[in-house]
Amino acid sequence: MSLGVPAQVAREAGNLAVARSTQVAALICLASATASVLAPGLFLDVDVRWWATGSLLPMAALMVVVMVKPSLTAMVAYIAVGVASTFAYTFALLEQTVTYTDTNLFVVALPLVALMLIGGSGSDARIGVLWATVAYAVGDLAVFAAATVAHRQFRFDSISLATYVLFMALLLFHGVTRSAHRGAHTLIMRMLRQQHADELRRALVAELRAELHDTTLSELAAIATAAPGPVPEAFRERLQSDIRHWTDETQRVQALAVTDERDWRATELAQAIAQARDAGLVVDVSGDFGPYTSLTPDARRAVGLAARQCLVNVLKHSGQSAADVMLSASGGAVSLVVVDAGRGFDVGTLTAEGNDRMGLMHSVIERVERVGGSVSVFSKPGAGTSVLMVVPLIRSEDVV
Amino acid sequence: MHEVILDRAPNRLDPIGAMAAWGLAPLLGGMSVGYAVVQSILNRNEIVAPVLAVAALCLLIAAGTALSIAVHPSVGRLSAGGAAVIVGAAVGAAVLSALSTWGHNRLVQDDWGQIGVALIVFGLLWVRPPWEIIVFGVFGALVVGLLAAAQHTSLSIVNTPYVYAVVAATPVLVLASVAATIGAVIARFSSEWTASSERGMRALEPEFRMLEQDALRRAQLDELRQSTLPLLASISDRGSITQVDIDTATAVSAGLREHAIEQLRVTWVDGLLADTRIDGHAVRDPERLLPHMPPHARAAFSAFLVESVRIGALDPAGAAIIVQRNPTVESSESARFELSMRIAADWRFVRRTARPFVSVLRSLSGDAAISRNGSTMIMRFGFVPA
Repeated sequence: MSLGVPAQVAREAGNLAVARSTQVAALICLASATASVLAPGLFLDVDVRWWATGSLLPMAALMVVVMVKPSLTAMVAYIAVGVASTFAYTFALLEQTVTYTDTNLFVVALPLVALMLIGGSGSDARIGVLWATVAYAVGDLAVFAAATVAHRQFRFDSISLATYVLFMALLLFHGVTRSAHRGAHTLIMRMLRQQHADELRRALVAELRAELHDTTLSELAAIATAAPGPVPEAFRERLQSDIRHWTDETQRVQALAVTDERDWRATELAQAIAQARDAGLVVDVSGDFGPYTSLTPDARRAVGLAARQCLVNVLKHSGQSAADVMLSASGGAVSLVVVDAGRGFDVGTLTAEGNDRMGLMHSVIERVERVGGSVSVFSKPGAGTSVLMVVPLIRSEDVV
Repeated sequence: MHEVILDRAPNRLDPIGAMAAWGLAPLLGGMSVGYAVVQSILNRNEIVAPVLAVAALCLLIAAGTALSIAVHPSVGRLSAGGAAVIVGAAVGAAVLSALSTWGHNRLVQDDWGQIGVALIVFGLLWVRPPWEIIVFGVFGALVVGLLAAAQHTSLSIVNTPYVYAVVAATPVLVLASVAATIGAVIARFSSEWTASSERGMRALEPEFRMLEQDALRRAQLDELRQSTLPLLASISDRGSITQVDIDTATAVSAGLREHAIEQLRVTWVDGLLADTRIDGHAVRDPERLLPHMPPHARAAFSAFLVESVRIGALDPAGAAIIVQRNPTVESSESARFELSMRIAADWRFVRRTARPFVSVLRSLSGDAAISRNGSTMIMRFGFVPA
């Protein structure tokens, strides 16, 4: 039983589900194809091309590579090797079975299907369609070549064509439905957190009531039932202690490191964190909020909006559902770090034309620099991303 | 984690995803029936028992229809037995189809039986756990494989029966493995995210506590500063109590107690009614079960209600909420929740808005549903008071 997953997790899960399932399906197709070419040799007295049984092994091995370490090179290699394997397999199959008069055969379609299923490993449904189409086209060329060499009639096989249509329909369906209705999840999570906070508030109210009962209400009850006249010295001390209990600043400071809770909640940073949490990101906040709330309104806003962009980037690019926001102050400056353990990126591409990290460039780095701060980005592919913002601590009153 | 991946139906872990993708099953059912009809027409000269061929098509239509109904958002569940019946019907259709052409079938690859079984098994992907789909797939593959092998004497291509079995079984195995893998990946992601979200929620507690504690303490201090602390300070300074002090202490004490009780009496329901402008008298909860509704169910229900009122789908005026112990189940711990509200927009719009929330509630309670009675929407679900 679950409340489900947010949009970015659904997208990520959907893409991986399509990739894994098509990779497994491709391996089954290759296993079936190998069994088809192997079976006659084992059970019939025919002139068998035993070498053909190994022709699909490189293709299967490359599919395993794509599964374990997906990359553009591995996918291109899979198609290239797959074309050669398909040619060898089809040629052997047609040569050893005389009743295979043309190529409109299920057993011929198997490596073709395995080839087109590489489309499932594409980073996106649209990219997947392109991969599948290219792989299918070049695979069919290999079948055509094999049929020509084996002196058989080439015919488009209806099986691989039907599989292609089904596969395209499923990719399209996945692309359309994977993020649908996820707004409801955001609303439910927001409500869950709000109600959790309300529960906590009620528990704290109960604690506070008990505290009130043990202190002030007891003294008021004693006064209400006392007779007019002088009070004992011990009672006077209790009254003074009671007053100190509520007004002593140190108690309040112990209870909270935040300078002003209302200030904090109204800040762009607090709102950015709340929005990211609404979108399903688990944001762990640590450190002291006080110095941040002491920044000038412009600096506070700049850091808050920059943090929001960082959290949006985590949602969009990291492939992770959690991030850390750490606040600290030292040497007259406030530091804020947004960390994720996601897929990371090459920091060297940040200033390159047409990179997809313009949000980080404009909404984080330039924004923070405009208020006199600096931003350092630490990231590399596969090693997560940390964005450190440092803004000088000039208090509002100093500016005035 | 592996148990969760294979043992849990994806719609239990990602109910909103299952609801969004419900159209897949009717699509696959339609494709299997369409393919069967086309192949039957194209290869009609091979059919020697037309009655069996028609019966096979009817059985496949029944399987596709049953599957489509089971995954529809207003039903959204299918038991293992139900799934076995549906797959059994598809396999039965494949058997009847093979029997209808027995001895005259020329190509196994033209048979629709294995494709029908494969597509129906694939359609179970959101509603049944991956391991069951694997079992159904292997069973279906075995049956269609054996059927194909048994027909080897009449087939036009001379080959070993094992090749025919491979040709027939492969589509079923491929689509069953695709469905099981998709289900397993969705289950893994959903479980991991849910665990991480729960950890995050727990980790938030110190932050919330810190902020709330300060806010409440400030409010308490403001209240005490109005008359309590000045009273205590004046008595302490004077070193004596007057009759006015006694009267004031009695009144202030009563006020503080009353306020404290008021604050403690407020529940999540009061907050929800205030947010949605529903009258406080709309709730009939004689056993006070609502405060004990589990957090996930109350969040899903509250989110639905707030959103429906916000977008004007439902009218808060005249709403009624009834909560009572469920008399129809053995466990007396179960409670029944019913919300009635006037529909303020097109019913289809209301239903579409409610669907994701209802699917979440169904994944939590197993029996959530909405219906329409004239101009009133009725939402019902059960819960076990926490």
